[in-house]
Amino acid sequence: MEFAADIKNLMMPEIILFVGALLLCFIGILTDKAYKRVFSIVVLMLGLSFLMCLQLDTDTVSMAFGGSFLISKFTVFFKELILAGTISTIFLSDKYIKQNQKSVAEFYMLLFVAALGGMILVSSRDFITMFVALETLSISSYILSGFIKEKNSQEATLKYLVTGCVASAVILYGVSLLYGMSGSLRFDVIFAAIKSASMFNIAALSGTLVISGLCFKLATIPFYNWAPDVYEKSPLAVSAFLSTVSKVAGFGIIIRLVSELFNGIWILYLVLGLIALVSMAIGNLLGLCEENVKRLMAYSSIAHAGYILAVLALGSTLSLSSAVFYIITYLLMNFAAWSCLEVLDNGDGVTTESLKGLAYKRPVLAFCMVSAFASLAGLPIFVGFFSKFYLFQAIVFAGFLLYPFLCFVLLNSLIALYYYFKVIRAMFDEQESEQTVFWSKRLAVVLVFSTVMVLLTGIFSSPVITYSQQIAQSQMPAVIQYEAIKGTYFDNPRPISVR
Amino acid sequence: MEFLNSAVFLIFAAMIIFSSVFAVFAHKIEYSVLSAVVCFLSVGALFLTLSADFIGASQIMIYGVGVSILLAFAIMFTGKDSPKSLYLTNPLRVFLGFVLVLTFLSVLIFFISPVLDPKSDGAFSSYGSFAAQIESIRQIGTAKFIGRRIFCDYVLPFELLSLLLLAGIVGVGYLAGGSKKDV
Amino acid sequence: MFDVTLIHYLFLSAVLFCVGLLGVIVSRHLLRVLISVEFMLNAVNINFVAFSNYNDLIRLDGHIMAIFVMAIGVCELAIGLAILILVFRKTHSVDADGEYIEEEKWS
Repeated sequence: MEFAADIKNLMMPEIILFVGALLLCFIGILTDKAYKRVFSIVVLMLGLSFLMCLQLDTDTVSMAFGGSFLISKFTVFFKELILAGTISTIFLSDKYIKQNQKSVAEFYMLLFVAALGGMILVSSRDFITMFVALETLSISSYILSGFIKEKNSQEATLKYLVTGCVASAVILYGVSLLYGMSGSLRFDVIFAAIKSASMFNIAALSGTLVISGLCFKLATIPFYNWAPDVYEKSPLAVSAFLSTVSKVAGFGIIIRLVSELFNGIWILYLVLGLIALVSMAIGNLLGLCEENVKRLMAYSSIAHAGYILAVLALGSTLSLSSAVFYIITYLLMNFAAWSCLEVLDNGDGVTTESLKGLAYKRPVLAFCMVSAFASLAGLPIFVGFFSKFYLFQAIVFAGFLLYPFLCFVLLNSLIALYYYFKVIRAMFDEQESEQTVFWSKRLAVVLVFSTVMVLLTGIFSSPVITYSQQIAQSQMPAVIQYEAIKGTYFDNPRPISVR
Repeated sequence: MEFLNSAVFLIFAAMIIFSSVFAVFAHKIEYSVLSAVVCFLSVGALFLTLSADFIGASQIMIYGVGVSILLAFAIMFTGKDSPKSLYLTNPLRVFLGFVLVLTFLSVLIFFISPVLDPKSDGAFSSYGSFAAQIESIRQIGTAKFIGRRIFCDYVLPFELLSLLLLAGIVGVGYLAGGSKKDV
Repeated sequence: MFDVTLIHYLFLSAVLFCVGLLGVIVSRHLLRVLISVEFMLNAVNINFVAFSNYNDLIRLDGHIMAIFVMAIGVCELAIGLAILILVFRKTHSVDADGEYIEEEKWS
């Protein structure tokens, strides 16, 4: 009964979510009026799953299901991020749920399934599991993004779905070539085959296909065009989910693929850098003339994904730790910004026009909003500054050949300042416009929590940096359990215990 | 025998390519769906020539029957289409699409053709001591082995797939069904 | 004639994949876009099954992947058609370019 032991030791967080999703499905069938009680059940289950993640033994790398499921410090960390993001999304969705009480169980169930898909995605170790988990995440996101039936959100959903299908077909084409040259779908076997055989070209091609297909999850080039429409048309909580949790899962699997599978294929680092530069530029330039703040957040998230990919393209431990730190802070900043927008959203979306005079009418909310947007822009004393600083540091340490690269990234963050400031300036405008705000306890919880975290990590950022360095170091040696390619990556290989 | 093999391959390959191109460029959507079904069926037949009996049968049943009925229903629902016929997008996009796709195809063929030439490399696993299994696959088909693999090594994706389909059913039921407000 | 080898199947699947991609890019009818996506997935399946036949008839990973791809592809198609019908109910058009605004009044 190997499976039973695996499940008991390693898979409890996923099992709890699985059971929770089934339970919510039954609740959705049986009753329409469970709105109040469902919330506490959902939060309880996610919290329990989070605790189970915390108590997993991550000092040794262990595997389940014959090696197709990997538990390491890195994967468990990403699972915790995903769960934390899902809990915040559920708090954030309070307004939407109050307006649509009938569909609450379905909404939560799809969120559960999406979170489950993301969690299995980041810890998958063969391509079958990866693909099914990716599609679990995607398909539930497709449905969630079309959840408002009244508005015309369906075209955006259809665009999202078609783009996603094309992206997954591209991923699968790359995977099929990898399968063809190694005869297996397991990451470790493919890695060994790439090392042993002279398959550099085809590995580079298939790696490019797989990574660019996964960029659909990050909403970067080449599959970015769904993001603004979907963020605008879907419920705001779902937009927050797509811009945080789904991206975190995508980054988790991309980091793992680049470090475990395509390690040593330098073309892939070039491709990552190229994707990063182009999506940064596109996100920032398209964001310049955007008035709708929800669409602005979409462009901003494209650009932020570009920054993270840019630093991942360097492929050193320092750059990985700065990417991890950036991901953590990105999660915090984004939830702060989205919860402010959710408070302000009156159903027609938030524009810079409708924000005018907010600072005089509602100073507290305006303060939260300023801190979130200034942090996204990367101004000092807010956490966004430290994450950007750390990112630039990683690029500087990568060598002077990359200084043009650094200049481009700097230029982009300067361009980005403009549209974040447009939002901030509108709030201090003299002429006031009518705002209706929506407060509830649950929304206030996530707003206050994320704003406080943005401020606190801005002031005391060193523990978080230390933690992200630990995460990055744990990924780098566990990377690969075979021989070293470059000395720096493999100073300290760990034993793998296959359970 | 060799002649037969290559003739079967050529026939089905030609059917696949012609029917897929016709499906993309047919003027009427009904023709397009019909030739898409032909393409799916020929892909299923091609699977049968690759000693993949189970996959071929599933392809014919799922795509040849299930998907074609699904598409027929979709045509029925959207049949009374707008007055103008929907054919191709604006010419610029068509041109760019052709350029992109031809580039992509040439890149693929450029990368595939030298590396995977069966004479040029020895990276593929040899069958060796598994001759008995190969022989039994040739005789009784692949279904038994596929089942054993799925329920031993790939339980996790299989269970996840069940949840995925459940979520799909619930979601589509919510999206396409009548609103619950009337209740 | 000639000996059918792996490479022929790979060329066929590359061509089918590209036809599907072309269909996604150039078609205006949403149903045709969804069909083209299925072409891409079928091309991938040809690849998997061909590789499995020529390299890996022992573990049959390619066949298993093909089954999963089929199941998920059809699931995506079904969801796509459901949303397509929703869009059609709202706008009375299945145009991928979204030129339906003047028809909304007409309906």
